[in-house]
Amino acid sequence: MSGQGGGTVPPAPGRNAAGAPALRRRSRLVDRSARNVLFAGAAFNVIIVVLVVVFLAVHAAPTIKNIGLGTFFGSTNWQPDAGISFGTGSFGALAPIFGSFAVVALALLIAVPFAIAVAVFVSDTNPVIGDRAIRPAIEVFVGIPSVVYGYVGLLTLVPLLRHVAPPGRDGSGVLAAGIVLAVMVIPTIATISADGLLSLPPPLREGSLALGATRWQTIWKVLLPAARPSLITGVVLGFARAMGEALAVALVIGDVNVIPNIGKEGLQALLEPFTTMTVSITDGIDKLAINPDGTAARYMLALVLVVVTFVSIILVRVVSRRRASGAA
Amino acid sequence: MHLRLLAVPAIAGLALVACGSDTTNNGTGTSPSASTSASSSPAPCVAGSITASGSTALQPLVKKAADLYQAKCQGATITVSGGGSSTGLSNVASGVSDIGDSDVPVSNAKSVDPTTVKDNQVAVAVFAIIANPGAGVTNITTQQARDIFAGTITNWKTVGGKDVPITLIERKPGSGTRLAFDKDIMAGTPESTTPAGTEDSTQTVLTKVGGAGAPPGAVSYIVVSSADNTVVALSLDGSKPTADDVKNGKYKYFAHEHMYTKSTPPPLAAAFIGYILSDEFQTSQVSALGYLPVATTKEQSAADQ
Repeated sequence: MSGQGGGTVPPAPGRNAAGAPALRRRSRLVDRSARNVLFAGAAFNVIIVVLVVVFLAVHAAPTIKNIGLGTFFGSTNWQPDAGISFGTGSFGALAPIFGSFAVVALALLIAVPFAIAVAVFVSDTNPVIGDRAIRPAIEVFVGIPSVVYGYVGLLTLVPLLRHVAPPGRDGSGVLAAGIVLAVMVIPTIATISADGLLSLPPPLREGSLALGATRWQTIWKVLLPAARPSLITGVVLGFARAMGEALAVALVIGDVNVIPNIGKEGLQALLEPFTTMTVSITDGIDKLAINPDGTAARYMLALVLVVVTFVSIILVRVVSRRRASGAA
Repeated sequence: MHLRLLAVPAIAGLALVACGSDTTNNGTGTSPSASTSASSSPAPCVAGSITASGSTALQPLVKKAADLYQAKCQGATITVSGGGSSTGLSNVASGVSDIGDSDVPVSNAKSVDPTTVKDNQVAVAVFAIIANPGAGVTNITTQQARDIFAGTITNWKTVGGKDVPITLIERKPGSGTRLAFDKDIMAGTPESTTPAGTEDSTQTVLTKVGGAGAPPGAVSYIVVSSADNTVVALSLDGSKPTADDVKNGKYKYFAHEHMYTKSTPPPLAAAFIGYILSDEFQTSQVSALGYLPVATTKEQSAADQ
């Protein structure tokens, strides 16, 4: 940027006048090459994303050809590895797809109120404690590997839930996975929401209070609506993280490819074991070489996961843009 | 000679000290494709370099044999890696590895042409149905086992245990343990599609059946050398998961471990497998690593077909 106006700036007094054009030339050169390097980096990222999608699509193609999208998205009979030993596999992926959305929805239902409460505490209730204790603690939480959450869930949460589970169930299932994922995504949502609340212009807060609004009214009616784009961004990133989590979920969900009967069992269905897309994909890793159909079906699942993530990211961009233009 | 074959803690009715002193060590399978002839003469040394890959369950045994063989024979390099049985089978078929270690016979790998590879059975893996001690059972019939895992028997009192609901933990389809279970025990009856969970790691299965918070009615199946005193290894029709009952043909839930090679393996691969099958290695190492010597039984279980 400095290179653009450089020609019109008179040499500073006392500086070697003869050296200035060389310096400018060099800085322009550095500028241009830096821009190229940065552009290459950005382009590389885009290329990788495109390649991933192409790679998945190519490997998923046999699924579309042999199984058909109607069966893949329309059937609940998901036994991708049955063909290895007995009979033939079946590749109706509705159970893992529905499982992913059910578990993530439950996780967000639990996590979002908690996370926004944390964010409000950090930004408005007690910024001092929030800044010194809560934020660092949350940042540590973000860095904890998912296997730790899963293992703790398996050893503590699952035995606890067993006491309320239907007979013959061990506590693994949708609820266990939802709780573990909720704990995992609270830091993500809380951090982004808190940043959003803290970056609101101070007059917003001051004006509301000056007009006689209580603290609660200010938070509920002014600050949270104003920070909504950040809150939505946080929730969508939390959604993406929960959607993509495999290991922690695999440890606590039980991994059974049958949709729990909500009509018959009501809320108890949450304590039935289930599966998700990520868990179903990882199941096949040790069978890649001997199960080509199952592998193709899993590539298809991976493609669905990527598309779901893309759509959620696009959604957040559209929403935040509309908010921004609406506010202006 | 008394040989301690399987290190399973003393569970009532499970004495796992077995007579394993065959003088002839001809562990020849009855399956025509299987070639397991063991030589009791010391294995010859061959120089060269080979790779073995596949089953992670069998990997410790192959690694131990490789270490011992390389220590004995200068100039022999044997690289052992994992990857899983399916990887081992496809690696040996495609020539990536000289030896493919597998828990399951090649007939299960549809993408591998079985005529291009040679089966070498090197050990016997014994499995057991394991239950939480809270179930109050030590013995069931094979038919009861079928009904339990098919989901038709749902309470332990039906089979003489306590009044606790049965919590089924199955293995993932494609696992060697499940394959052996489905063939040896279930014999065509499908396992329940709605168990409490399906797991593929032996350690997770142990946690879910015998761990601190596990339900009292939990049941699964596992390689018997991994069963610890938190679970009860059930007898089937009165026969125990021991070397004795495998040897006398009463206990049917077992499978052979395989090391596949090409039909004409490199000389070092042949010599190395010869070493694993030698009396020296079979008697001293195989049982210490949780398997039975291949000579324990000539019978091929359903899972070996």
